[in-house]
Amino acid sequence: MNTVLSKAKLIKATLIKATPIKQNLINKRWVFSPKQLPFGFHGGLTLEPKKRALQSTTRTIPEVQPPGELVIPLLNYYKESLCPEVGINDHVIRGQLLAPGIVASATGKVCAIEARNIIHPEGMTAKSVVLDVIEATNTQNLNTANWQSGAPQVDLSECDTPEGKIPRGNKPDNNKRKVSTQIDKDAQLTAFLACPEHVLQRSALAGLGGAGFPTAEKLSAVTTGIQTLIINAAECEPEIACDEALMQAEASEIALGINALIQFTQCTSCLLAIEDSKPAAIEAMSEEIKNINADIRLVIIPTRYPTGAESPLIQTLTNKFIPHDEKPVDHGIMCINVATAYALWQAITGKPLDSRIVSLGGSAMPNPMNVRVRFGTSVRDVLRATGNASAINTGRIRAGGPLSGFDLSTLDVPVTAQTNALLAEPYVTETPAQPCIRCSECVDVCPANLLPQQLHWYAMSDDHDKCQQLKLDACIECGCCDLVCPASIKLTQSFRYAKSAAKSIRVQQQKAQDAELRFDQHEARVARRKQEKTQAIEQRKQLLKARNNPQSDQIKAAIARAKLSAKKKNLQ
Amino acid sequence: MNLTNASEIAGVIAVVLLVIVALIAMGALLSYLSRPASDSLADPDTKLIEAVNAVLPQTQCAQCGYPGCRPYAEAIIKKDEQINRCPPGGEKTIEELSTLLGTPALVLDTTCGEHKPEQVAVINEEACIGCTLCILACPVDAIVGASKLMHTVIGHECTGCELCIPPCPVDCIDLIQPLQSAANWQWPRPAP
Repeated sequence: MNTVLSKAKLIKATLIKATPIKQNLINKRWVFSPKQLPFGFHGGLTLEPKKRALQSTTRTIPEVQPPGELVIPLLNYYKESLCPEVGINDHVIRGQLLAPGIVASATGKVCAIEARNIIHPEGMTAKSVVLDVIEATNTQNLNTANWQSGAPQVDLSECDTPEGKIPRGNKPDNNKRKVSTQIDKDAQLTAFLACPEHVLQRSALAGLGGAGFPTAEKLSAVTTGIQTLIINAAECEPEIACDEALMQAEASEIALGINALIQFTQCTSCLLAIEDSKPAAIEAMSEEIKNINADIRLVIIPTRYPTGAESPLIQTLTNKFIPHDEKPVDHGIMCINVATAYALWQAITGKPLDSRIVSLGGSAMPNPMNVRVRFGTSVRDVLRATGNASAINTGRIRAGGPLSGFDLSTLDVPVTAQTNALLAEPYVTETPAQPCIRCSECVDVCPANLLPQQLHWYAMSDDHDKCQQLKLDACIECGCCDLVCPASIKLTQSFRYAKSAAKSIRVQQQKAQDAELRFDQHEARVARRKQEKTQAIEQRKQLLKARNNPQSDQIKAAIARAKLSAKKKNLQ
Repeated sequence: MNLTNASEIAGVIAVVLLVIVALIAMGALLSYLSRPASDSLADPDTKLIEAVNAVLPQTQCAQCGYPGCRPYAEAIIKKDEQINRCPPGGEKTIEELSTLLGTPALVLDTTCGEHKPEQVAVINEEACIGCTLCILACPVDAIVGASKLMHTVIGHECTGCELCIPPCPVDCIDLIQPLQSAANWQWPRPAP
């Protein structure tokens, strides 16, 4: 019944789309207002904006200086352990690849490759490279010295400008310098578009929205037919403000990154989605995107959690519902986080992704702010360096947002590309869960259009088939259902449990199938060898039998030969 | 007038005949398409053996007294073998087999062995003399190595069947609990 209802809603929305909005698109290029945006997604919550971290979003973002030791986990997006490409005592340069898709975030010496704690709900460890930091600032520039052979070298002296050629060695005057930086940017962009693999392979780009999906993989899935490129500048969760801070501080670089993405994907239209609660970011970005020579629109969307997630955002902007088992790329849509666009431009200019902006917030955080943190810096060091050391003792530290994050069991864990926020919350006694009263509040807020109360029942009774029927895999674990549940049932936790249990069963089944296949092959091989052996024995037996038989031709021939030679002797 | 009437009637009859022929053809086609699959007609046991085999853990440990999981599945169906002879599968497998076959769930036959948690074999590579005996014993080809050279177990392919333990002349193979890693970690079950 629920799906029927939502379908009716969608159809209604499409009807509204037809007339007034089209006109609006043509007349006013930049801005949609939330009122003019007719589509939305099912459910979601309008949460009271907690502006603690936002207050500190100024034009410049402070950076946490890397401490003496950086810990870089050798894990990929799928949490598989990677083989390091460096050894102990090796000297590594900032930006150097430590393993496929992982770069050193500072210059230093590898002092150990061992299991270290990572940001994880149960405090697991993972094989990590431990760097003794020597020099924090030196950046390896991929475009120059260490650029792999075969990559296109951009010779700026070849670039023609309206003012003639600019010789590279000469010092340009101020006016010319402006032109030359513009040419520089164009040349770097052309180099990237000519050979994107070189930039993507060596820059360790990962989605900075929170999930950390490898951008290289996402971009390499682009073949043709991307119609809509969506730049996601809607913050994931209420207390997180890292994207907002970035947009205020680095709007021009973001615009360059978006331009590069437009050129790369060859998309027909590009939408930059910012929530209406971020006027300063909207102002900064609307100024900068005017410089992009492409069809790009700034869309101001209503602040409604979880708009920052891919599927709800796509629904809000395009009215297309992408089923959970399909990729947006197959529908001609690509969704990229605004910070990833910025990181892409940095990568194009030769700086691999080795830091990110982390929002420090939460009600127990004495000094909330947004800081740029080098990957591998421990959470404890981040809190100490930002004057939040007192939060370590007074509160529990949470990685990720207030709804979808989790508490950390230890603070000696390194910040990675996924760490968008660190929150300090006071200790609270959790209200015990009571039986479900079937109020269906969770159904109303579910952005994935599921039936959480049913799913919870099946998840807790380990009925994985039923869970799959009710599309548990479509759950984005946003935590909306937990928030509205009057019985304080931990729905999201049960979904996470059921999802990972089902995954582990799938893995086990696959393992059993593979074992069976190998067993069959093993048996066949053993049988074949046995047969070959008996055949060989049989042949040998035959041969020997033939030899020992006095009637055999060989013996006869030998006797004849002997007789002949005896005859010859007699004649002599 | 009469003539046109006759031709009209002929036309109507032709159309009716055509419709009847088409319906018969469709019926024939549908009955052909919905016929039962030939293999299940040939041997009803084959499907059942497949189903039983899918429930068995594919450890290939031979503790049941048969040389592998499929032979045991065949014995269950064809020789009425008991369903409680699989120690690696334990209670879970017995339960699934009893629901599948409609027979009462039995207690695990401990003469076959004890149910143990998931385990993998690990070769102490320093002690290994490279005799290849464990390679020959492994039913799922999970050990690599060559004569007089070190052998090692491919961890994720080992089923923990213990068949490599007895042949080892230097006793350098141990069974351990598989390591918990971030890749195979599971969210804990929330308190009800």
